[in-house]
Amino acid sequence: MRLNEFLTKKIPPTETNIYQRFLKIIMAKPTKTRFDTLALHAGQVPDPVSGARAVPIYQTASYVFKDSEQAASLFNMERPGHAYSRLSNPTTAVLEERIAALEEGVGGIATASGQAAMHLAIATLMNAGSHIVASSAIYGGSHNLLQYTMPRFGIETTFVSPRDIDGIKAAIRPETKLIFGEVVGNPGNDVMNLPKVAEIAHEHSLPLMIDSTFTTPYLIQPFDHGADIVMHSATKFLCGHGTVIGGLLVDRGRFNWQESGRFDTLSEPYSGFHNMSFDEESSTGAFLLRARREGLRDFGACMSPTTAFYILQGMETLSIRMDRHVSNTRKIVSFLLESDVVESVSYPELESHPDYNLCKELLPKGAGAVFSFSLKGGREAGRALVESLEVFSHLANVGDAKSLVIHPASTTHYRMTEQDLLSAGITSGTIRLSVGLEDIDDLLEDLNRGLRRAKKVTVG
Amino acid sequence: MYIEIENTQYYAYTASRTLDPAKETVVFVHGTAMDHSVWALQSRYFAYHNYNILALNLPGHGQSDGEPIETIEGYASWLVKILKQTKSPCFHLVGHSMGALIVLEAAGQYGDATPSIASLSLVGFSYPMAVSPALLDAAENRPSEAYEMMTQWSHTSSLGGEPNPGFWSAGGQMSMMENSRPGAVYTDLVACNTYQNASVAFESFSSPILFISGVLDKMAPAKLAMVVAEKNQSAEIVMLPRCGHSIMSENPDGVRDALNDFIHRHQAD
Ligand SMILES: Cc1ncc(COP(=O)(O)O)c(C=O)c1O
Repeated sequence: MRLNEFLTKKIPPTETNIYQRFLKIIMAKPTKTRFDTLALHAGQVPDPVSGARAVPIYQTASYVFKDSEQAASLFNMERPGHAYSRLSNPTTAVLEERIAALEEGVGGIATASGQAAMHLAIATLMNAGSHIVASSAIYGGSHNLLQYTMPRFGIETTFVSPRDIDGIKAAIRPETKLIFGEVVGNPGNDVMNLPKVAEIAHEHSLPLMIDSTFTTPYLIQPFDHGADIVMHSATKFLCGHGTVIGGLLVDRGRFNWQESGRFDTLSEPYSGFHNMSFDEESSTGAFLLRARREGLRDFGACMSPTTAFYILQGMETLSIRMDRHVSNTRKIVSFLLESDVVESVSYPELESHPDYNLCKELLPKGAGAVFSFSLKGGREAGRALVESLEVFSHLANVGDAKSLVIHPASTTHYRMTEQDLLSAGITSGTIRLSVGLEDIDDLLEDLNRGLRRAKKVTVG
Repeated sequence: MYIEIENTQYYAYTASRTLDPAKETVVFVHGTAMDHSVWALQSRYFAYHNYNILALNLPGHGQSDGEPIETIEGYASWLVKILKQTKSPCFHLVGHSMGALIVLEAAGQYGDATPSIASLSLVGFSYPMAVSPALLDAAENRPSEAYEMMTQWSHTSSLGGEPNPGFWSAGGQMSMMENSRPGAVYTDLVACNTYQNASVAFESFSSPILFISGVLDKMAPAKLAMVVAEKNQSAEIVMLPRCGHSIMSENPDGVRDALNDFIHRHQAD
């Protein structure tokens, strides 16, 4: 039979009917796979060799090439796959895909730490002579990197209060390449107005990068509110058990690097990789491609597969844990408000917090589990409280399943004068809690004991 | 690189290589509301294996100027203009989904002119390429919903398991479609839905044809490609298991190997 005849006359009517039915039934509006299912499964197909259900730890530095042709095409990005674990690893790749699925981005990159993720983003986007506008209410380590270390490499940062929207706009210079902030900042839990800041960033053809460590994709997806890149210290709630150090970057794939005209690292040929112009290589993956092909390759701050495994395991229970973190936090906040030793509690779900309304809008599931409160008795009271707690561990971390406490004035910020502390939004009596998953009654009893000690020191 | 036709600039990815007029040229054409990046893993391979490549952005798509065109015939005559302007001993046309209809129709319009179309590869092809009423409605009135539908139908699993490390293919497709020009998705789907000239096109050239389909393709059911392929004596067909319409990202090696084998066997010299 001639093709022509078949196409014009001879399609059996039954077949057309089947096709029409197919279109109507199969192609009805599909439902989207939901967050908890993605948190458990995204990025993994059960291991094709062993059938292993859990994500196997591919503890290997390198991978045997099938032949030299395959090797060459792997290195030249003509073929997907793994060549060397500094560039990619099958276990780590599951984590990268999973965080991208949860954030609804196009892909991710896992790094040795949150700090490494931040550095990788900066190194990928800019050169000496570039400039960043950053929120002043960010993690101390990020502040150190931007304030003291990056300037040695010619990259300057202007810090602006996340509440000062006009200030953010005014700080943008011709050489600015990035606006950076946290959803919920440190230490005053300032909530960044993501939609407004994103609007300013995009008006100036700049990407907005958001550190969503404290919030995780369960409490907020910053891409929904205009962010272009999300970073995480996966050390915290994503891993959730205080076992490993790791970082993640996710790209939304929507920023137009070429049109912006500010990003020669992404839109000009790179002689370090076959003159690749990354934004030509992929209209959505340019940032991630350069970050991997240059940043991971040359700076080398990759994540170990064992670390990726621990973080994946933590992410499986992310929503259950975050709900419990938040509900324990709310009860502790209410409890502290009742105490006569407590001067103030700073949590954005409180009407007294300046970002109360914004928090309700952006973080309906909760403002996280890290917050600060101030004791009336200053440094001495703070020290007494911290030293008398038993269930809360006194240490420098957040986002563990176990409850944590720190007194910044006698630890992380101990070199600071009262004046410097104040400008960082801290007083000598500020205590920061990271509320864990223990039984709430035990946490409240523990805090009650601590507050009594603090009162004793204060009253004498 | 940019190719100018009638004062309009059209973009073609060449893997940053200059075209060599002595080399055969593989031309890649993307589908509805997409751009050249869908071919990243296949096109780059050919660019480094003795071919010129042109992974095009259709008018009004990606980095190309102009407007999306309402008919497959319109896109095809634009493609023929691109071919007529490109110096090469011959062309190998590769299209995905709507792009497959476009290269088919372009081959029909171009006929057996020289330099010849040495081969034609139709990936994720079906004919008819009927579009469900629900999708057309969404594309016209609620494009994000249409992107969501197409992304989900295109992927075999909603859980990923991407062969390309670090990427989440569904997110990639969503962002690419969200980046497309307003109206492009509807215009393209209408073009697919109304195209009726395949029979004429198939009769108008003698180039060898390869069909590559994902067994689980819901957007362009492999069965419909098979029915067409089986009626065409010279056609070859490659069915790739465990993948759907998003075949270039779900099985990049399978697609590349099939194209490579076919195109290599049909070089002009
Ligand atoms: C908000 C925030 N961002 C980034 C980091 C840095 O992450 P890492 O310690 O994993 O390097 C931290 C660590 O405390 C953090 O709290």
